[in-house]
Amino acid sequence: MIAVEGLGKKFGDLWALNDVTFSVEPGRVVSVLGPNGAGKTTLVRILITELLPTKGRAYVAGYDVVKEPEKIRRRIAAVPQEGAPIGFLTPYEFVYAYLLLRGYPRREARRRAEDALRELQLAEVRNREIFTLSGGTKRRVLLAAVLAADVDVVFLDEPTTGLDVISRRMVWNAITSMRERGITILLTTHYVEEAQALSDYVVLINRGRVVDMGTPEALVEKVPGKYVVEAYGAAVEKPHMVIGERAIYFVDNPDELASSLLKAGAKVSIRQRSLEDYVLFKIGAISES
Amino acid sequence: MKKLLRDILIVGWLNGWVPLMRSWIWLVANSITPLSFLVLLAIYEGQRGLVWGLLGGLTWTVASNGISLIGDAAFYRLEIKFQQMLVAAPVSPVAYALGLALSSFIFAAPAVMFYVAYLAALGAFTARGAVELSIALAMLWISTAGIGFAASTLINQMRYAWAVPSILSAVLSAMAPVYWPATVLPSQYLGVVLPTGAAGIIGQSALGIARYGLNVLAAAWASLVIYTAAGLVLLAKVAKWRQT
Repeated sequence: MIAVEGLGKKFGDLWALNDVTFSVEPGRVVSVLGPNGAGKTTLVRILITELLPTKGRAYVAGYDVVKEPEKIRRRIAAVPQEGAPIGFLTPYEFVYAYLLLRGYPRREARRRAEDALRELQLAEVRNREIFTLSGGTKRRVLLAAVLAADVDVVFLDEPTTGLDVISRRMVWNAITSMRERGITILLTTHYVEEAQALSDYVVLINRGRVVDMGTPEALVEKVPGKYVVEAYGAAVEKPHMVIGERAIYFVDNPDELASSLLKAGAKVSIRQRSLEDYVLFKIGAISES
Repeated sequence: MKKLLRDILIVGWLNGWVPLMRSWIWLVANSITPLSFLVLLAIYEGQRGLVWGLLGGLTWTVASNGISLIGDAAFYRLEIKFQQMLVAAPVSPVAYALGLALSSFIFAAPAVMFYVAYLAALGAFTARGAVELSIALAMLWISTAGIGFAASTLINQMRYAWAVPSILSAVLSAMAPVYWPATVLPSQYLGVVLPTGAAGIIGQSALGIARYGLNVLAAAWASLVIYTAAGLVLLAKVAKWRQT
């Protein structure tokens, strides 16, 4: 449903995206992870046909993003990074207007808007002006619009940034609902646990290049140890990573190391490895090299 | 074409009609400056000044509609990214731009109706004059909408999106013969340099409050035609979703 081959985008002398290649099967959720400035939003902007690539090819829903943007636009929807619905409209008016602009007849747009608002638990606020709503609720209004649009591919660029834990889970529910309907979703996020919980596939990018990809489980397996020991304030042997005063160890048997660190005066935490640790391991290693 | 017209109306509805029905502040904001001029001209010049103030207000209001879409277009692109949602949807950028222009016109419609009704009540219109003025104002609206949308694409920070329309509106209304006759200029042809001036000259002649030679009127029409064509070209060329 999404296929990217050697995609690159150059701004001035800087390659914001370079030789990016991956593909996503229909009905799957793919998360694009990476630090700020990694190129995630540039990738999304190319795939939604807003930005021309400098090199490479990309196909969305079987169509070329450069040559067939009109065909793609009929089959995709996007929630932009830091996007917000129009404040003086109500959630119902916003979703309804969006559906009308997508070409739905009025009756169908009304029905779809009502259903989507109900599904995202926005029925109670459907007639309140959006500027009076919380940040999380506003974000859900955007999601209701793309949910109601019933397209093949949805692009969500950091849809949960800045949201509280409850609002984030409501957004997760919406993403899961879209996935259950067979919609392919490309999600960019800074929250690695979100990617782990929601994704079938993860693409990790840094400085415009893909550094790894795979299922969340396969990537977690690449962490060199079943447990992660994080120590703040002291280190006893060479850690796998150092971030300021924080030392990170990937180990199979954490107890002995933790005891040594505690004796040295460090604050210590132990946890099972996760996708976040793989990102730390991979991106951190790249930064150090 | 049907989808294009439908989208223009939808954008006009969501950005013009809904906020107008919800709050009258924008209506007042759009009308307050030309009404101020109207009051001043009426005080100092009596009924003659009143007609100048009404015609100037009508021209100024139509021109400022096109210009004021700069703020909306920049806000939707830079601040809430609504434009990006529409890029990823089957919406024509030309329909979007014209819809924004229509929404500005919806805000201005009550003020426009007030000026027209008042001028009619004063007996300022002849049938031919009304037609000439209507055509000139329609052309002015298209040309300023094109200029406004093109200018909005050059803005990369919201703080400029509020300042630029004020500057452009002031230049287009004060530096052109909108509230005053082009006869005060060293050459009357200088009056047609800006689209507001061209529309002003045509309107003043149509209402019989200033007399211009045929050549000056022809130059004013030519200027408006050129600005209208430029406005349409700007809408078609600049109003593109795709960025390089």
